[in-house]
Formats: sequence, C-alpha cells, structure tokens
Amino acid sequence: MSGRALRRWLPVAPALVFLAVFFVYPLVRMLVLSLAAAEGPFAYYAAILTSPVYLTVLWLTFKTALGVTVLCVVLGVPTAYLLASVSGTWRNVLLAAVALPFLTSILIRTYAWMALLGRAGVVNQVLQWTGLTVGPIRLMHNEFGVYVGMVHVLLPFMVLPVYSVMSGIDPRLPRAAASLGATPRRALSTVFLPLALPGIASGALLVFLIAIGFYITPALLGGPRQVMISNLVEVQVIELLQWGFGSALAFVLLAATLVLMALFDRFLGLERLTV
Amino acid sequence: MNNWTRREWLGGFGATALVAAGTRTARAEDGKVVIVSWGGDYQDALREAYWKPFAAATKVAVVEDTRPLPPRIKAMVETGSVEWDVVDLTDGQYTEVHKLGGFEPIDYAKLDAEALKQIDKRGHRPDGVMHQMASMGLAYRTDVFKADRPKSWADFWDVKRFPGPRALGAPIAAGAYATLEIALLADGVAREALYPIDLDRAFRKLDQIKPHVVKWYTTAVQPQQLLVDKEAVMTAAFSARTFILKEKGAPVDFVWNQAMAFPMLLAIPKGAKNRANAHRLISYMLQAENQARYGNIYYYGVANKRAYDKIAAARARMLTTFPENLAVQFVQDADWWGKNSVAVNDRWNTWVLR
Repeated sequence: MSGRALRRWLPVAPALVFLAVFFVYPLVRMLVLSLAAAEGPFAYYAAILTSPVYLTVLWLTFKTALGVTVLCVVLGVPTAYLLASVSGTWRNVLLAAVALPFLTSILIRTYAWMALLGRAGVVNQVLQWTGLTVGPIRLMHNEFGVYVGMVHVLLPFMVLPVYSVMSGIDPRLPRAAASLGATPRRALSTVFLPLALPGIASGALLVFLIAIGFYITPALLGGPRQVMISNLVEVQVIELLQWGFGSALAFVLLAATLVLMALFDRFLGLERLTV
Repeated sequence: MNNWTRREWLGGFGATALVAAGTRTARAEDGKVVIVSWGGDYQDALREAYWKPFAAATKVAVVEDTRPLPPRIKAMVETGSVEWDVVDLTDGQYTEVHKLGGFEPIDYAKLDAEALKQIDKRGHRPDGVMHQMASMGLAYRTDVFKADRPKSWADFWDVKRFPGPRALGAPIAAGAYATLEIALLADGVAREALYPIDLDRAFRKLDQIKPHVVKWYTTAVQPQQLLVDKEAVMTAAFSARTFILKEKGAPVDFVWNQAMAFPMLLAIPKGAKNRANAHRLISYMLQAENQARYGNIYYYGVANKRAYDKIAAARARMLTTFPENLAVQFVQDADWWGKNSVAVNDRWNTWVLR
C-alpha cells in the first residue's frame, strides 16, 4: 500500500476493526449457524420459504414498515419545512421538540401510548366525556396502535435529515423562481421539493430500515395479526433455543432488505443521499 | 399512574427488569456464590428471606444478577465463560436447557436430607431441584363480575353469562401461559387427561374464543396489566402477581380451580465456578424455616411442606402449594412441552394469523 493510501485508510482503521469484530464476525457466525441444520445446509431456508406463516409475516413486516414510512413522509416533510423556514428561538424550540423523544426509551414511550390509547385510557375518556363516542373504541391491540407507536418513535429519523437538506437549500432559488413568474406553489413543487428530495429519500430509507426490525412496539400495541419477523426471531432464539432457525429467519429478512435496497439504488440512486 | 402499576411493570418475571446487577450482600470471606433470578420485588423477597441470612450465617458472599434466560445460559456454557452459579428457572425454561445438557448434576448428598423429604419427589431432578411452585390461572375483575363470578375455564368461554373482552397468552415460552391446556379444560377434558395435548381439539376450542380475545400476550407482566388497565375483564394470569395487586387494592381475584401449577427450580449451569457454595445456598433455600420466612414475605408456593407450619393462614391460602389449592390444580408437563414446543409454535403462528 502506498503512503498516500495508508494515510487515507489509517484513520478509518479503528472503525473497520470495530465493524469486523462486532458486526462482520457475528454475522458470519450466524450465517454458519443458519446453514447447520441436521437435514442439510439449506433445510432451514427451505422450511421458511415453503411455509405460508413466514412468508405472510415477511409480507406483514414490509407492509407495516412501508405504511410507517409513508406516514413519516406525510407528517415529517411539512415539519421539516417549518423547521427550515423559521429561525432563532422558534427553530431551537421546534428542534428540541423533534429530538426530545430520543431521550426516552422505546419501551417507556410504548407504555405511555398504552396509557393513552387503552380502553380506559386518556383518549377514550376524553372521547366519551365530550360525547363523541358512547363506549370505549379500540385504539390499540390493532394496526392503528402499531402505526401510532412506530411513527412516534421513527418521526425524528425522517424530520432531521429532511431538515438538514432543506436548510442547506439556497433561499434565493425559490425567490428566483418567483421572480420569473412562478406561483409560491409552483416554486415549491418545481424548485424547492426536488432539491429536498435526497433528504426525503434518505429519511424514508432510514425510517423503513429501522421499522422492519421493530418488535417491542408491535408486541405491546398490536393485535394478533401485527406480527413482525423480529417477533418470530425472538421466539426462536429466546424461547425455543433454535438459534440456527432464528438465524436463517434473520438472513431471509436481511436478503429481502438488500433486494429492496438494490431496487432503491436502481431507481433513486443511493449515492445521491445526504444525511 | 399508580405506584403499584409502575412496580408491576418493572417487577416481574421475564420482564425487562433493570434491577441492580451484581449487588453484594456480604464480603467474600469464604468465597462467593453468584445467584440469578428475575429482579423486581420477587428478587427483593428472595434476598431478604434467603440470601442475606445465608451470607450472614456462612460468610459466603452472595452476588446477584438478573434474568437467567435460557439463551444466556446456553451462550455461557457453549463459550466456556460461565459467570453464574445458581439459576432460578421455570420448569419450561429448565427443560429447554436440560435438553442441551447445560447443567451440572445436583449432588443430593450435599443437600439437607430433612428438607428433601418434605419436597415432592417430582421436584428432585438429576440436575435441578424445585424450590417453589407458581400458578397460571383464571383472574378476573371483581368490579365487573360481582354476584355471579367465573369459577372455571368453561365460564371463561361463556361470553353470554360473563361478557367482556378476554386475554390469553401465546403458548410460547414452553407453554408457560397454559393456553392449550386451558382450552382443553374448557372443552371438558379432565385435569388428569390433558397430556399428551390433543392439538386439534385445543385449537378447535380456541377458535370459539378467538373473537373475544383482545390480546394474545407474549410477556409475563402483560396479563395482570391488561386486567388492571381494564383492557380485559378476564384473563389467564399468574397467581402471585394477581394477589399482590389484590392486596394493594385492585379489584381483581384469582380462581384456583383448574389453574396450572408449575415448579420453579434451582440449577447449576455446567462449568459454574463455585459449585460447593452453590450446593450450600440451594440447601439453605430448601430448609423449612427459611422457606417459611420467604412464604411470609412473598406469594409463590413454597416447596417444603413443613414451611406451612410457620406461614400465616391468610397468606398460606394465596400460595400455589397450599394443600387445598394444589388439590384443584393440574401440574404442567414440562417434558411434553420440551418435546413439542417447536411444533406447537409453528402451529400457533399459523392459527393466530388466520
């Protein structure tokens, strides 16, 4: 290795060693475990890919993650736009409000939602007190509860990258569009949003990737059909001590995710992403 | 939220208890022993009743840790870095590790012979010994069912006479939540005829209750929480947790009839470093006098029958092994679950998603 290359790689060495020891090595160990079935190296994979249960749950996992991602885009992009267009104290207050949930554990936040969304919870009490509903309505132990809990956890991962890109957009560009006769709406849709797109795409990707690994929130706020692959992996590893099968399940999820990433790269281009 | 509900969250059994790991109760003058249980007020009780007096009497330092999950034991044993000497497990958890040969044999000659005589022979395993029993049974809200109260699993299925949402457990955790046994009992199967479990019959019966079950819970703290939060008016729940809530004033009660009793065992992970002290501590935890002290503090069923001589009558009636209670329950067949848990899990996942 030339001196120049060495100088470039040396600072990254600690990070690479860390990744190799704590990520690559365990991953390889898991891969080996997943191929160690008594009935042949691919027996676990064959069992997973021929079982309607695992394919259904894989589909439910991606469906939930996609739904959460769409909701985060819908709620997060206007929030980021507001953040980028105010300044001074307001910006700090809003930024703190977005980042605050990071300081609380997912478990605590999920329990807080249970206190809010339960049959005897705050929301149902208010609804009945104001006469909007007669009896308690089902707000959790269903898909709705899972979406609420997951969007709440993941929204900052959407807002912050989008905000960072939007605040870097030259404010003179939309103004230039306006001076050329564009309505504010037109300036937003043809100038500002396309420039913000890399941030939106990277936020969406981040949210999606974290969402497919969720398991606490669906387990506590979901109903019987809100099962994620991670919940099944947990049972295999923790309860049944089937580490090989659990590893194979995790690799199926990983492979499916990589395929999706490749498609994403093909159509949007990963190198355009900025966080 | 009330204090006791918060304690309940942090408390139990298989929960995410974040309790001080590695608390020392004595100095290491005569070596040490590392014991691992489930944190919360349960581990507080074990410490008060057993570990503090043991450390004071023997000068052996008792070091504590929490959450001896089977995968953690398996990982320690397989990597040869066993940090624990005694683990406290349900019969289902014990069986999963036992299948892998993950425990040291118990040297019964080193345990108190008088105490062993008072403990059911089914709790004397080659590599584990029963120190208490717990129960999973019908728990309900007494403010919903005041005059006509549910008394059996058939009543649980009777949604006309006892209306309201229900909760049951997903039968993972090696069947600790008793859901399949419960379905068979509701269908009229006798307590003695539950095993081997007729899966077709159990799932057919579960089909009937499915629309009324608001939550198939997957962690041990959930059932009691669902009841307290009014998410369900009736559930299968753990006896100890339910009685703790009842004593703190929650409108809940527990039905002993047709409940599932299951042993909790002390075992020594294979390759444990302080095996002699582990035997000393286990022996101490089985003695009648010490079990009586524990029974007066906490709510699980002591294994040593003589302990009941010194347990207050009001408390004794809340314990799994109190003779009148044990007589109407069934004991989980952890052996059957050990052989069938993987297959049941697959079938369960298929059924619950349908």
